[in-house]
Amino acid sequence: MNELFLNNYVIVYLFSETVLFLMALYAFFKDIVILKYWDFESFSARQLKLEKQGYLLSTIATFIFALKFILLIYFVYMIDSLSIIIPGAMCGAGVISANSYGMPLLFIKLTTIFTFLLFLTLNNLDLKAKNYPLLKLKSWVLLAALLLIFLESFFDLSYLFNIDLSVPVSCCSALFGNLEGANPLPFGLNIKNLLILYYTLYIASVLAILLENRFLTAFTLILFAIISYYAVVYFFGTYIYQLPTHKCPFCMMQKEYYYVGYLVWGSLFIGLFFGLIWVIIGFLKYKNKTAKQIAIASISLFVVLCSSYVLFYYLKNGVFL
Amino acid sequence: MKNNSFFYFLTLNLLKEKRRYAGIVIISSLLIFLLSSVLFISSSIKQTLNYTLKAQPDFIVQNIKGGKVAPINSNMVNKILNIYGVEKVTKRVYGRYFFDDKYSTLIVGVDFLDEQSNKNLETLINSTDLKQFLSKEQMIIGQGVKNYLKTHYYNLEYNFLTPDGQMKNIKIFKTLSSKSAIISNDETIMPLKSAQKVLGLKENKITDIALNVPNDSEWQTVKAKLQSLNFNIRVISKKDMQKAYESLFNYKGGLFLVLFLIVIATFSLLLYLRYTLAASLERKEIAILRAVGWSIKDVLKLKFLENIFLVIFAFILGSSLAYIFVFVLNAPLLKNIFLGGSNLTNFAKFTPVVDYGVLSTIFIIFTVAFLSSVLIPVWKIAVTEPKEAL
Amino acid sequence: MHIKIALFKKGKTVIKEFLIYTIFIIILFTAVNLHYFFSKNSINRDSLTVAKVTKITEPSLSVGIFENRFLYLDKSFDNNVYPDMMSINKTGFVYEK
Repeated sequence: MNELFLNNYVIVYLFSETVLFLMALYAFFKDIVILKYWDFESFSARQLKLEKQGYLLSTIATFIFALKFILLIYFVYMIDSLSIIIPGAMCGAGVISANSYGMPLLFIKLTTIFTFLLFLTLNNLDLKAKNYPLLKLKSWVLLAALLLIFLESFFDLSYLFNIDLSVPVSCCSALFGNLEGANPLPFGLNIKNLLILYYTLYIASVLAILLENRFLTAFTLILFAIISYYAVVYFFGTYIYQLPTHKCPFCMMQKEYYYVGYLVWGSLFIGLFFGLIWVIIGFLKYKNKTAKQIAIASISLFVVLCSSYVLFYYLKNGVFL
Repeated sequence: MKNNSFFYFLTLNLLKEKRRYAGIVIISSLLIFLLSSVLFISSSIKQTLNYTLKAQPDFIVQNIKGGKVAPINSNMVNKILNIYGVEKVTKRVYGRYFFDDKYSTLIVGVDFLDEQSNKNLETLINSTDLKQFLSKEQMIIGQGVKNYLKTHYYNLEYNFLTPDGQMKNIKIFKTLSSKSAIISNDETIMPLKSAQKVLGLKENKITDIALNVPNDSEWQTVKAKLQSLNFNIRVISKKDMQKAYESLFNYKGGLFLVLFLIVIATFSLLLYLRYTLAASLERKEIAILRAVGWSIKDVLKLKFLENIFLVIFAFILGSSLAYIFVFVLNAPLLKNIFLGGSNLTNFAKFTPVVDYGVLSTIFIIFTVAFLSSVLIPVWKIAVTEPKEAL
Repeated sequence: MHIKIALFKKGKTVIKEFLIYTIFIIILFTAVNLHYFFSKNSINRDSLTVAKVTKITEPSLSVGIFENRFLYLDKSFDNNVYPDMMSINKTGFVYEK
């Protein structure tokens, strides 16, 4: 038993995750029953019951999604606040890399949220039509989402139980900072090319969405997300911190930077998620104007936000970092 | 369904069942009140301590004998001054003085003639009084000490009994305001020489030595150098203190939270039963709605919005009352759990601190429990077939 | 019947009683926020002034003789059988050692 488990945030986080896990387990069995016995043509009592249970599942899914979304923010906040307890950590970056479960956990969390969002969109379309055309598909998506929750719970526990408070972790400057001349950027890029690529990909993805080219959208959006990560960590982040050597994706979520990190990463992921959902729905021959608009608005917000930090720095100081 | 009549109907529905929901709201806000008072107190104390940590010296050097802190020779100060990068080396003299076998005060000796502490003293007492204060052997006492002395009719002075059997009469100059009582409630500040006499220290002995190292990249080296001065030296850094303060009260808050989870679980179970019971009563109502043309989705929305209203109402009510209880009324009863009550009466006032982390913690723990326990009963109500119920 | 009529009546938006509750909550909320806005940090500063003079920042706990008010001053009365276990029946329990 280490001190971590008497931290308020950790207790509440684990409690909420446990409740959600139990709900997910309940939904999981119901979902399997639906997948197995669903038959829209039938007029049996069972079919009637299953249709009702469909509503229960979508209610539970909405509930889980809403809480998962809040808990993701809470998790990041928790990680940040744990940096004081864990030796060596200055921000969330050190805490999340305290063991090898941290980063995958964060990734699984994002995937879970995406899957639930996909389910909810499909569910909405499904309920609009009167004959449940998407039911099988959405049930499979829900099954995947619930399985992701189980995986997440496993990683949650493994991550928190394996944080060793006696071993110092690296701080963000050691993780992202000077790597002794080694280039941390992918594809052998330098900062200049990275930025060119960043803006090109942004314009490309917006155009692809507007031209309704789905393959291109998926491709450019995913690439844009990857490049954005590097661009924020290695270029835009330094302007947020106003320090050329400070390279960290987590520190910007702290109070000193007005919690701007939540907005930066939030807008990127919301844009990415809605863009991909729009792509997937499109393959099913559905149109969703809202998803399209949110996607464009969100990544534009992201780009404007990042660029404005650079711009304001330049206007204020007359030089670039 | 997004028009006003939906909202109107929602509120009407809530008010119609006022008696039923009142119980839930009252219990909910009571639970939130309890949890948030405890968390408010602990976060407030934590914040105050972190704030006053600015005054904490970077290093403290102590002399350890048999695991206990023993007086240290004051000529150690000169040795420490020889280390490069060290500044503001100050002698600290402090210790407990027992009025009787139960009540005690913390005697703190301050070298008032020292330029730096003189400057700090000026902010505490205004400068015209300062001359008068330094002219005689006088002391400044905390609110708790004052309260004790007053009940024992020592309004102007107190006769300390020194360990070598003598009386030491010191006049009371001023009482510290209760605003600082979280630090100073049981403190008695007096000149260094007087404190040494009261605590029975010889003239060249002090309790420990505090020092600052302005360049924090030198901390490691300085710490090693300090430790090598003598075998039995303990060096406490500011960082140790900071970490201790961070987990300070986390234990109590955490333990309380764990116990609270059990309460919340019981509460959820009650809610679940209550809503299941209510389901049979509400069936008819829902059946009418369905017959009028509401879909299952609409009914679910109605029921959920009802509960979200209740949660938000209870949350704001409970946490606001907790705020008033802790920061306006100074948390009677609960204060003693955190600050203790077996010695001098504590007059501490809590600095208002509203931590978003704490608030979201309370909100999440409550919302998760509340909504997840009503989810299934609410669904059961919503899917009622009009034909069956009517 | 009562419910049905309410549902189709347009123009009316908020019930008076509901409005009263809402206003009560809003007033409570604003009062708390105003109090917070005007009084935060006011007490902290006084504590800092005292701590600057004494160079002692430990909280003033009202503890019995057998407990330690000071973080690193003495370590008596620990559990001999389980030295790592914290005792929970005293105020010193709040400290991490």
